[in-house]
Amino acid sequence: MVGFLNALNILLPTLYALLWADYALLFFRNDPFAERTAPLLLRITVSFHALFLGLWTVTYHHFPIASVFEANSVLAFSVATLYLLIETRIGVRTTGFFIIGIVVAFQLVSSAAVEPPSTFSGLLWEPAFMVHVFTALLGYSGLAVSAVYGLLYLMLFYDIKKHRFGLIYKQLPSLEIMASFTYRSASLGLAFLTVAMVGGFALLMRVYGTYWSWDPKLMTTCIAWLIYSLGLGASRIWGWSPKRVAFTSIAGFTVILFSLVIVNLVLTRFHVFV
Amino acid sequence: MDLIVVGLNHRTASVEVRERVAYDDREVQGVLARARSDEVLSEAILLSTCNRTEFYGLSNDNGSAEMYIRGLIAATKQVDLTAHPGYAYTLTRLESVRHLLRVAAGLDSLVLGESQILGQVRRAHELGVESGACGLTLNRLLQSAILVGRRVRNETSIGAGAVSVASAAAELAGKIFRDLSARSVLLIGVGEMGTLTARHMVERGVSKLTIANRTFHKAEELARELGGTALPLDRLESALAVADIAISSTAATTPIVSRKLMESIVGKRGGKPLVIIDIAVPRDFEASIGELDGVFLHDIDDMNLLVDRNLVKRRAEIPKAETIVEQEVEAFMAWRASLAAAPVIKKLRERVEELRSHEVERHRKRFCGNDREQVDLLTESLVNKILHPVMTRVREWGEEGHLGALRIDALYEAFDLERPDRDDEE
Repeated sequence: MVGFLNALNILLPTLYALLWADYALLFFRNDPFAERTAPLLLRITVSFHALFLGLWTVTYHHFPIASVFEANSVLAFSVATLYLLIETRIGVRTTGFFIIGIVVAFQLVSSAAVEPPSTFSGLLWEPAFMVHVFTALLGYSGLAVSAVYGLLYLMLFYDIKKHRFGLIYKQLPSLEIMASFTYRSASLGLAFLTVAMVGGFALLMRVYGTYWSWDPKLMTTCIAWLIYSLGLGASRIWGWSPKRVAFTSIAGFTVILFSLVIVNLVLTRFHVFV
Repeated sequence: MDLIVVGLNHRTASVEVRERVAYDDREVQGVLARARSDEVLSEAILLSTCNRTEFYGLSNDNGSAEMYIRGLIAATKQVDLTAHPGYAYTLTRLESVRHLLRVAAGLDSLVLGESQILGQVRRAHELGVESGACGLTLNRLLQSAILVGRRVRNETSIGAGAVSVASAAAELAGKIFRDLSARSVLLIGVGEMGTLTARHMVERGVSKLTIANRTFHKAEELARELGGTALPLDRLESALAVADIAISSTAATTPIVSRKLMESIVGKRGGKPLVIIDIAVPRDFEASIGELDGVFLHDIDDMNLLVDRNLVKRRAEIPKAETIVEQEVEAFMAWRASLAAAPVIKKLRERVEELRSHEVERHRKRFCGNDREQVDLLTESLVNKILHPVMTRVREWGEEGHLGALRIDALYEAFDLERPDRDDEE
């Protein structure tokens, strides 16, 4: 089983890289072969990934959220799954190149260094903790997808404004579609992040006897939550333009990335479970 | 039997001539019924669109077939093509096949890669089948043409991108709005290009059309024609405050909408985007309006740029489309050639089967019950094993042109097979 898991660990980034190449062919060259194979390869890769995560849980007796490297794989899986749902919904495949690009990055980081921990905190089997981590990862996925669509929105927006009718103009769906997915993905991400934060505060109270800690991860997550809440709220209440929502989404995800990379690896005190 | 096409198109004849020899569906059926009863063509198809009228036929004598088709056009449309040799063209055999497949691919169209022609080829096929004039060969040819049309559109980008100002404007609006059918269009001025663009938007299904013009009765006339609402030009500000797409093509010599006016309009729109296609020369909207948030301002140069780029992209797809055409021409010609082998295969099998059953019958009394059945099975199996490689070779000869035809001929001689008449071959 361990050998099979190791093989899957190599296979997954390879499949995602192939998928990314397929979407690149589709975006840059409108390749008919890529048009046919990309959706199929996406489904196959996501299925293998689900199998990998399931087998990892059974083999190593914990959900793969004990380390940043394990969590990155869950993150890659949830972003890919969310993209699969979006692609199926809108039938546009030209944005796959951008979304799968970040999935490749997450999975490469995971596969390169992931190892089953010899010991880990008993918290990992606590239902409340699992809900906290999984909702956080689902939230990050939604926010990542929202940031990519926000970025694409701005690229197309300025290309149209500046009368540039190049590849971005030709390949991307309408501004309205991308604005819709920026907003919806951010809303979904924010909802999950809110559940994760409420769960996190409850756990904090149980473990440390307080609802607050000056933990850098907690602080950056709260800042990101405030940015998203402000942006989405302003869009709903004051009719903020999709352009502003796109900027908000990118700003919020920059904070999330800082939280995921810098804070997780360097600064955190209590977000470690091995 | 050879294929022939006699026709004229946008390259060889002016619109005045083309409209005189255009056939509607009812006329096509009448002409095909007549061609069928006259028996000069054993099969016939008529493809008639606004840009071409082409008769495809199958006959024993292409010279007579050409004269017949020209006569048929003269009789039904009173246009003597022989008096104007430059109008019509005649292509035969391989060239006629290649021509139809290129037509279906959109390679011979006025607008390169346009997709309407495929539907028209399909309709010509249906009418041919309904009238009974489309037989085995033309049926297969039309199927090949439809297949080429589909393949070219699926496997190349020859039909992608707008190639007229009107469609470029719709394409641009489609890059901002998800669904044009939920959008309202404001046409400012009733200039030709603007009207054409508005008409295109209506065809794309926009929900509401408002026409504002200095001369109100002209706006009313056009509104009646396009199914919109007319508005005097002095109510332009309120119309711009609610429209999603504005198309402007007035004859005004100075801008009719200033930046200041547009700033106040944008303030009333609640952040809703406004697409302005200003195709007037001189322009109707001050250029700096394009800097305002939520306003996408594009002029005639932008539309021409879009059209030119799309045309260049379409032309770049021609080699891919031609390759598909050649693949299907080859497949069709191979199928045609293989038809020549079918009769000899049938005759040879009949002859050998006749010998086998005769011999089995002659010796039947020597065997009892079960053994007779076994002898039948054994001899049938033996015959099949002997004939199988022969049949394979004969099919290959059918695709080898003249040399293959000679070999097939030798087979008729060697086995003393009865030769089929020409109709059987088809």
